[in-house]
Amino acid sequence: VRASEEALAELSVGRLRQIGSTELRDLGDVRAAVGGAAARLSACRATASEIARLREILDRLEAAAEGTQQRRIESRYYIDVAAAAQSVRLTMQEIELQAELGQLLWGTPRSATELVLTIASHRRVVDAIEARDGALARELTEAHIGQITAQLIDVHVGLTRRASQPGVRAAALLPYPPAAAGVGP
Amino acid sequence: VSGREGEAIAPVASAGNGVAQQAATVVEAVVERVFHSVAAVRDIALESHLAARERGEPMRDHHITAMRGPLVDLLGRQREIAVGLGVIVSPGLLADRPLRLEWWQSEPDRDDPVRLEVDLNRHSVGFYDYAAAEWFAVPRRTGRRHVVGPYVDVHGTHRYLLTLTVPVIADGEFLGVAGADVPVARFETLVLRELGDLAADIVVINSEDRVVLSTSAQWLTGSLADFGHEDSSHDVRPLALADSPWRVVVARGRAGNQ
Repeated sequence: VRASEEALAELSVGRLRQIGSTELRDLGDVRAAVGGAAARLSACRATASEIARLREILDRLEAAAEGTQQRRIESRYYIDVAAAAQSVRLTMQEIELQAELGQLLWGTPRSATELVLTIASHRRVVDAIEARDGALARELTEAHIGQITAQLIDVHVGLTRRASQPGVRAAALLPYPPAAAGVGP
Repeated sequence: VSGREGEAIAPVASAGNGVAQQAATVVEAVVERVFHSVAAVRDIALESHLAARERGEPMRDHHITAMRGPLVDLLGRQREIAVGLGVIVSPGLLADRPLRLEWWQSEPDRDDPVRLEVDLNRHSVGFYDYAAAEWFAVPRRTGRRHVVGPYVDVHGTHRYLLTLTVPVIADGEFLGVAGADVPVARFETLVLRELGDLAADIVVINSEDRVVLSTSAQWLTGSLADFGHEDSSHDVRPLALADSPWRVVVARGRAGNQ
């Protein structure tokens, strides 16, 4: 498992270097549009059992040890918010966006602190959905995606600027080694 | 006036009751049509179980696989209603496999039905835990048929669905559930055609207050509509549908009217 995780990480680092920052920004914009709208509509439409399921996913995210597993579960969170919005189209869009995002994120480890902040942010969104506060659910989702997008752009720029140095493995340029994804400092 | 069931019935509400009854009859008839298909699925499973028992064999994986032909035939005959149907086996029933389902669905861009493939490995991140799904757990617990939805089917078809299931029980033993998926849009079409032009807004809501269908854009399908509270702006009449936790509501007169 570790070997395939590293291979996946290498691949996504390569992808993150290839992609332009404008494409990253664009992806972030669409994610914010889709994720934000899904969160807003969920606040009007999600049933108690759907809200409970969202909380369950975030509990699983908190308990997951491996970085790639965390990314998969987090994808599931976004997809299920869209499903709770009762929109097939938003759900399909979110599935596509998560697949695209996965190619970039699976090699971008995050520290334990970042993960804690991310989960706290998602929990606030679910709280807003439960409180039927669509505007807040949307605002929180958009703000979070904006932050993640900015971080991705920073990593991308760093990778591109340092990639010219010979003999440096792409993964070594990341703030944390991929194998330690999610359990870093 | 409020027209909640069991309260004094004003003349207007009494007219509403007739409409509610008419609407309920239509909705029930469409629901029964789907359950008729589900019963046919259940019979396929029961026949297979009986045949195995007569040969003195325990149920095995190949007995479920053998249902494929009859299930695909049935789906072909049900195209007008169901987009998916099949059998979900009770965990531990089969001698040679812990979890098993045999589910077939028709795809919009394909002639042949497609078998639903899901991850039944308990240790995998994408594990499809069907025993925990409402459409399985409720009939197993109650021994009665059940309707789930409307919901977005993230796992299978990416459609907006109603899933109807019945328990498969032989001599008191729970073997699993038989079920069918109906697109909400198709269900709506079938009901609206039959409703004709009733002189009132009809809203069908499920047990979680989700709108299953309505005759007015004021109550959008999939949204939550709380008809449980007294609300003087509507004349509301909930009505229990047999075997289903849904309610038919006749919403007469919008805010400010009447």
